[in-house]
Amino acid sequence: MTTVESAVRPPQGQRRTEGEASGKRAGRWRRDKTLFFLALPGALYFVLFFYIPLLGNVVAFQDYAPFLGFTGSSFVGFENFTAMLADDAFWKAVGNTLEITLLQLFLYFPAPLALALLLHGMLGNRLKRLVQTVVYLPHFMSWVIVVAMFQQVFGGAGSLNMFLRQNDISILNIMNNPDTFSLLMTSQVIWKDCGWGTIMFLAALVAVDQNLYEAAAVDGGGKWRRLWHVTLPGIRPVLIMLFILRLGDILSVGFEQILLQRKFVGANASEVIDTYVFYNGVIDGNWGISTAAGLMKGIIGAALMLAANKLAHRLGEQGVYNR
Amino acid sequence: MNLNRRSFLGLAGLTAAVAVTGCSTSGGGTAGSKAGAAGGPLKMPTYVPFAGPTPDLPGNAQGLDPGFLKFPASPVKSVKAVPGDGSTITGLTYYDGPIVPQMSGNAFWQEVNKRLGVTFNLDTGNDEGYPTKFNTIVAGGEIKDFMWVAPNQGLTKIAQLAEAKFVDLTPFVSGDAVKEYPNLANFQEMTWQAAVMNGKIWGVPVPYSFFGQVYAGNKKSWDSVDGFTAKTPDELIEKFKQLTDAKAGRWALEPAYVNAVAQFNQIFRGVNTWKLEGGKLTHMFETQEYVSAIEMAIKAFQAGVFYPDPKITDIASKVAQGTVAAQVLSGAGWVGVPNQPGYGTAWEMTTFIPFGHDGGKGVHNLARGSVGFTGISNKNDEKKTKMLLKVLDYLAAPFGSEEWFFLNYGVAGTQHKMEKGAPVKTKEGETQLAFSNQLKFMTQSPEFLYYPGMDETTKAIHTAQQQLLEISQPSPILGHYSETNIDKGQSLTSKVYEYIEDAVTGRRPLTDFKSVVEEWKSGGGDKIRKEFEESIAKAG
Repeated sequence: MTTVESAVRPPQGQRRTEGEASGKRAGRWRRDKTLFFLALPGALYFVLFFYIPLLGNVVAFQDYAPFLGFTGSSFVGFENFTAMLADDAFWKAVGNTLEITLLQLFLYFPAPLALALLLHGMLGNRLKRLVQTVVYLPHFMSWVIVVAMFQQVFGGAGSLNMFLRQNDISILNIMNNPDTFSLLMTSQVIWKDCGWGTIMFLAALVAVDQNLYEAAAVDGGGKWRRLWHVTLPGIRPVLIMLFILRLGDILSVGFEQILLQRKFVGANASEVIDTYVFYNGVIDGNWGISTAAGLMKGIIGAALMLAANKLAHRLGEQGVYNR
Repeated sequence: MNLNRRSFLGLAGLTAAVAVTGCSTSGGGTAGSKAGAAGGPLKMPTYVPFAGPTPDLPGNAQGLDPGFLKFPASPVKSVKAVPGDGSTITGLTYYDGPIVPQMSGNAFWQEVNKRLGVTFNLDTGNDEGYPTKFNTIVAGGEIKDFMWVAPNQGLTKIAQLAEAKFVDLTPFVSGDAVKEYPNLANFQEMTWQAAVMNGKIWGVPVPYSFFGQVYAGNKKSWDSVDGFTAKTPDELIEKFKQLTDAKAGRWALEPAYVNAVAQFNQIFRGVNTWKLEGGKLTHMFETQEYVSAIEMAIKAFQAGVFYPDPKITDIASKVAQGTVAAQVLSGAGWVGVPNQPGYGTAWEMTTFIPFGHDGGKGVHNLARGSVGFTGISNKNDEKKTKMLLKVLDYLAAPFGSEEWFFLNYGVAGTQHKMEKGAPVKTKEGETQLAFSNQLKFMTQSPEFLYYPGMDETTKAIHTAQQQLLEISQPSPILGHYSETNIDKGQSLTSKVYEYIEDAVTGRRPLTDFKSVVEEWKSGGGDKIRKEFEESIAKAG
């Protein structure tokens, strides 16, 4: 196991003394200039489109009207937060979000891993590449198409139910059933993004030392033992990193996907924090409350991610970044 | 009639039922015509009807559209001089349709610029994106010369916005002043009310049908069950059942449950959003008639007569094929149906005239005769404002005028050619004239009926309009204004409508309705009522 970890960990640069460092600063600038300018547009992008818009969160503390602007709208303190917390619809949205996100964490998160293991075990490169291409494709379809396809097949007038009707079998309410909506959503996500999710795992699987498999086989380890003792530990750092990143946007559950299917099951089953923000803010013009909800969501996501990362470090894992 | 109705339907669909019932969550809320806040009572623009060609089927001031069986042989000139001063006009308007060829490659656009003496530089928003786009532009502070203010679209604080950013047009169009712009004087008073807030006129309204939502059915389907009418609600549901054959993939009704409830509400003679009695208002949600309508929709749902998926994308073609027997359309969408390709040969339409649940007649809830208004940015001085009004006057040219003909068919030989006395668009014109649909949402001709070569259809719709007008009731809050209604009305109503969808489909029990209405009341419904009652009292 230790071998694997040090293999993944990037080699540490040789430490320099203080004096050497200052003396070489000009030289380093000359050497890294190109890299710096290459990184600049990316950094600017983040500043312009992520950090500066963060300032817009001030709306959460205002009775905001777009035409009055940030400066013209009056400050109302935490009134938006109080109003939001007193709103039943908000708590309904939180409840639905948690239900869907937990379900996805347990059902969706392992799915790409399983698929990656299957793909990795495939012999024959041409076939493997073909299968990979096929499973990546759905990721590039928009939700409009995915939902329309699901409706065409599983909807009330879809091909499955038309077939059942014509054969006098009772129909299945798959698309319009609020009770199973979170399951439906999760299966749609798996169908669409499972293949795409394998990319990281496949890359990690390739990095596992082949000698370990041989050694395990020589020691009499069967297929399952090799999976448990070699493969999974080998990709553990990647697994944990992806898990932590997933926690960061755990409260974002398929905005478009839900918006498209809201009418199918009603708001009671489908309202999540993101749609609450959308309907309240953009549609109903309650910018303040919506921004408050969005801000809360962001803070909870960031806190979860940092906490999970901390925990990973405590347990001796790499987490998202090296310390 | 001349707006791009099919696409506007989508826009209306966003809060379709709100539009129908004229719930006046209007972005351009209306203030009492006699209830001017400051500066005394507001004088509405004088109505001077257009003296153009005589229609074959006369219209009237109640909202009956004039019908024309033949294209007017010699259009009348309605605008005296080139309205523009050569400047560029910016605007935000509604458009949803095929991509319009750019100005440089669009001979029609160039000709419009030339004849109006301006250069149009328009930005457009479509269906669900319109409020977002509008709000973004407002937030960015780049108010355009013309801003189309959509009704029912969640544009909040419109009165404040108008006070801050629009020209108060009252001195320009109130009373006889409007005669300066003869085509705008051709708008009826009810239409103008779309642009009135705080006792001032904040824009030029976009005339639209006076008719509320109607059930439009496939005539062939309904003929097979003895017509789209009945004597009792149960009999009508029985007909729905006869028209439904799920095995064959046929259903009676489109899955627009809230709109269905609005139709059934008219069978029970329910109110047009509000009922006014002795100065007191009762909302339709609080009436027994509305509950009965929901019950009827639940019965229909349980009978399986609604199309089984709540989302349906190609409803127009499904009705045309008879796969779905009826759909609810806005008044304007309804009279636009015969303009669809294939109408008259592939299929024909029949209109549901609401009957009374206990015998006799039902009611028809009227719309407001407009679809929002176009405000003028107050960055413009008086001279420029007058020029911009002249431009709108040109765009408002009515059917039967030279200007209308040009705006809709372009130039002979380029965008259209005459066949048997009626204009037919050329292929080139078909694409270029899409630009004309962008202009229409700034303002346009009042409604009319004209379906080339379909005299029977024209007469049938004209007759149906008369039948609907006989049982019509306007909304009592029309011409009155409630700030809360504009800010919160749509959001409140849509919550109730979401419940109705849940109730009709069996996701929530009807017994919950009471508490939903209580929430509506405490969430702002009562405040809206109070504001409207005060406005009505002030107007006397």
